[in-house]
Amino acid sequence: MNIPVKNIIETFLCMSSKVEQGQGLQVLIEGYPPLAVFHLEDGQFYITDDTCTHGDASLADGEIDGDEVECPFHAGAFDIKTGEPCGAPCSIALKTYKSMLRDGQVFLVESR
Amino acid sequence: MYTIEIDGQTQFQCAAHDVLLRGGLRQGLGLPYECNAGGCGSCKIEVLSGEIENLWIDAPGLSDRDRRKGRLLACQCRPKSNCKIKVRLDQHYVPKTIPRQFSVTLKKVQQITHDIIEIQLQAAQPAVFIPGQYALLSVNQELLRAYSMANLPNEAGLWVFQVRRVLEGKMTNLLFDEFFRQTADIQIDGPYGLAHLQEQPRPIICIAGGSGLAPMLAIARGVAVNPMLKDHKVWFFHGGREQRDLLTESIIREWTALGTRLNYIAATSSEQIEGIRSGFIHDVIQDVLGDQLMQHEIYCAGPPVMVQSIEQMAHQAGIPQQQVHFDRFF
Repeated sequence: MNIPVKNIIETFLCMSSKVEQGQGLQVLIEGYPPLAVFHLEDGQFYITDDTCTHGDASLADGEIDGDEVECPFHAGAFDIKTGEPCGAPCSIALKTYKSMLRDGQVFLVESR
Repeated sequence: MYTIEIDGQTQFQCAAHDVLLRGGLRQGLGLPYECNAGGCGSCKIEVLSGEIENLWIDAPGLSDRDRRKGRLLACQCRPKSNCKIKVRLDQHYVPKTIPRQFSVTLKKVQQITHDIIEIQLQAAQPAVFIPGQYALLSVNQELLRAYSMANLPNEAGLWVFQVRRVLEGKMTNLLFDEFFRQTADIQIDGPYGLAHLQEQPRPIICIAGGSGLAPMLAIARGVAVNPMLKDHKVWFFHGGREQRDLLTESIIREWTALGTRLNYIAATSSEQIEGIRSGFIHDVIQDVLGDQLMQHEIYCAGPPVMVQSIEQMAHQAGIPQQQVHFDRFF
């Protein structure tokens, strides 16, 4: 009998102290496209792809406005929690990842 | 002429009848833009001082947040005084051919599908642009619409556009009417657009829907005559709702002159025709090319829904943005 087993993979991204509330941080790790870690007003850490789906810009450098991040290039915007585009010219959703905070460290959590 | 200072970077002269975006591009500055028509939201600026006239207050390119922050679209702002603006210049947008405005005369009109006519316009000077680019057509000093050139740049000064009949459309009423078009005062402003032919090593995919046929024809024709691309193969995907929206394969073959380098695939989304694939064009492309998609340079033009599906498909396939070329029109 086969019992499906899911592997939970946790990947360390950064120390939580590196990302101030209301800020984003670009994190480069192997096996992923450039990632952005955002520390929002609700105190939670959120992880998305860092590269804007419209132009070749780093969203971690963008301005954070509530739950939204504005691309520094053309001021398009995404909802950080869902990845959905919420301002032209962005029209393709941003990939989001599950995050976990443990001992002051931010991890990306994926099940494979 | 007004002096427009770009905060901390440079300044340019903009004519009172021009908009800030085109005024800056005419002076060779890399002002970001795509559609030139208020829809895409790529040309956002902030006006720090001076007075402008906003030609389209409700332009869809601005979100509520943009408006709250006082942002404007450079393609919709006409200067009323010297101004200081804030925008991030980008080398990528520096025009390869400086856009100009000039008068043309109507040379020939030809019906190519049930609702698209091709119009040939004659200018006094050579037609300089890169295949895939577009120009703004104005008729009788009032209407302004963006159309892509269907032909290749040429010394003879010929500009060829395809205009789709739009129910109650003002441009339709003018250009589809024999009397009105013969007496119309027509001006071209261009070239514009970044979704033009690139000299890249990868084989090429052209994806055309509706009046997006014109720029894709230009790209395919451009490949045929470019010595740098002489060994490139071209996949030409042409999507329409019904068969009458499409041209025949033999016409596409004749017009593109690519010989055996051309692979033509047509698809209809709401009519089943023998010998033509049925379905949406992005599904057909994935079906035909599968994993090979990634190895291609992709050009596409057509209705917004189609372009967005292609963009989504390319994004999901992990194709770098630099490999996918389109201008977002709405």
